[in-house]
Amino acid sequence: MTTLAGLQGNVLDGYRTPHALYMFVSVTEARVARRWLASRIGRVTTYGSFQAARPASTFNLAFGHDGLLALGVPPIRLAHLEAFRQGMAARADALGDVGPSAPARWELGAGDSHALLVLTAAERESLADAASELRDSLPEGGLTLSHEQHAYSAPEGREHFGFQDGFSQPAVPGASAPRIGEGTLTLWRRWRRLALGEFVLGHRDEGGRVPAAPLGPLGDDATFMVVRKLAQDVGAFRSYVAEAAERLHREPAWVAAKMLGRWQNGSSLARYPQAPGPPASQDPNASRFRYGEDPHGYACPLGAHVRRANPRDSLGYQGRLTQRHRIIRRGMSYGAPLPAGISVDDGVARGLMFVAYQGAIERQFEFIQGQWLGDGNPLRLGDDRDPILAAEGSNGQMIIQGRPPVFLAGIPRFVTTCGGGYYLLPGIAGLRALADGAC
Amino acid sequence: MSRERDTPAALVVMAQLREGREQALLDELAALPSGEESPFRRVASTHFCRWLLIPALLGADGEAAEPGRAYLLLTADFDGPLADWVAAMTREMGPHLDRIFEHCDGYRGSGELGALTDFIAERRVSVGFSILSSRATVARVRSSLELRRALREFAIDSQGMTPDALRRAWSERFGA
Repeated sequence: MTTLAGLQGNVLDGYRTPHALYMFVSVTEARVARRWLASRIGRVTTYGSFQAARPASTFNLAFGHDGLLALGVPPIRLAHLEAFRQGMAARADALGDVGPSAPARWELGAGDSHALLVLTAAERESLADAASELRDSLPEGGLTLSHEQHAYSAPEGREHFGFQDGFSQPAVPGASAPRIGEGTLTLWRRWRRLALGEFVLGHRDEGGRVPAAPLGPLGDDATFMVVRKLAQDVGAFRSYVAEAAERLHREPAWVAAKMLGRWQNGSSLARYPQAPGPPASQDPNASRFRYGEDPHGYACPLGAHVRRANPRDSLGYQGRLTQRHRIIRRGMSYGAPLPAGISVDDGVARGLMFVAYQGAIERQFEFIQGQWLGDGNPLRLGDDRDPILAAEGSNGQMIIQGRPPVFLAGIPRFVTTCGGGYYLLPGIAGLRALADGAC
Repeated sequence: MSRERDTPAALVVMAQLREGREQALLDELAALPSGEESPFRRVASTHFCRWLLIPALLGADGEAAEPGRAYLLLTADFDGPLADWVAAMTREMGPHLDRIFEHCDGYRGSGELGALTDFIAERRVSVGFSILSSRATVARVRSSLELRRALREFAIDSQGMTPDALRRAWSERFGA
């Protein structure tokens, strides 16, 4: 029977640790790698162990489809999981990863790897110690390191474009203290938590069914993890916003907020359309709003990034058209921030290590990325695409609804995909079976 | 033009595959040009059209209702009537139709128009849902999209104009 005891950590409750290291590895010797895995299972941070006592550093590991096969999992146990089996690179066209974002141009080793090891820590030194020990163990563990990426949570949780991020996560059983507005609406317009199966395999989802999972123990207490390394062109973003603001006789903060759907302190345009409200991180009501009360987008534009990514009840039917397309996000920034006031590229690699957990990659991450961000039709926005994330093939336009409306044009590329993959984050029972060659 | 000719219609066809033809059919479908090169583009009355291989029909118990028998699903939305659309399909992409439908039981080729119409009619199933949300024809949809593009272009170019300048710009772009 599936319980949450074996679920790895950072899924239902975020670690909120400021330092992280992502290690993309390949399996070179299956038998040795299984032995290495067996020796590491006791160090894996689980949902339960993190709640019981917060460690100096956390350790989690996920496996790509080919990594599981390399460790001896029979293909038949995974064959029905199409997106996971194919991997992110094979789905590039549907995700909009073309042109400069095409897999052929991804950073070496940052694509669908056999496994992904993730360390986090509250202190930089703790992370360095854990990373050094882990790195040293790989060669004798039948594993090869193909790519490494440090990441961090900036002060106030601001990502490189300057916006507070990481809140408005789906309210789900097992997660501590969700805020009102983070779940889904009932027929009586009250907020409730989403079904656990939307995010953890082996549980009923919002459709009342148990989502497709690997056959056998790998499906217990597991979840699918989507990782994307997204380079952010902060100079281009600042330049565009400044130029548009000057042309429109508006403040740059207003233009940027309308594109994102939030003010830089995270307060939603739906609640505070004229000026920033309290910082979202300190406001227990920050997520307490319905886009259904702003049907024309006069407060938060219909095409704003956060409204596209989670339209709530924008599409009607009390949000029932959106509740099957939610993800838990655990992204962190990488690269040094571009100093304030600079609007030209300084050549420093910076961006977001996007991490999302879900029960069904196609229905959740891929649907959001391909349909809501990468297209305009589902939201009745014609050819418009997400102004922040979907540059390739975009008309580069966005309407800021209002009286009169404002039109943004010539929106350039701000974000480029540099790598990514689809992974399974097995539960402890699955890891043990994998180590024993018993999957 | 008759009302029927102007009225968009939906079609769903399920044709049973001849045994062991799944891969050959998949290869044929995968080889179909897409986007601007799609042969459907040549059939001007087509709104949407999709082919889908159904490996097996499952019964309520989750078991294959007819083990080993796959189906080809064709769904289409077009400006009616059906006979005109089938004739246009045959004319514009007959060889493609032959290479696809030849994997199905009972297909006698597109060379004989009545035979293809009969083939489709015999395998037609009722339409439960159609993506058509209006009664607009393909031509009307295309002209509306063009109008939207032109209006948006104008709106972008004219932002910030004074009322007089805006009026002049509108007249120049779209006439009085």
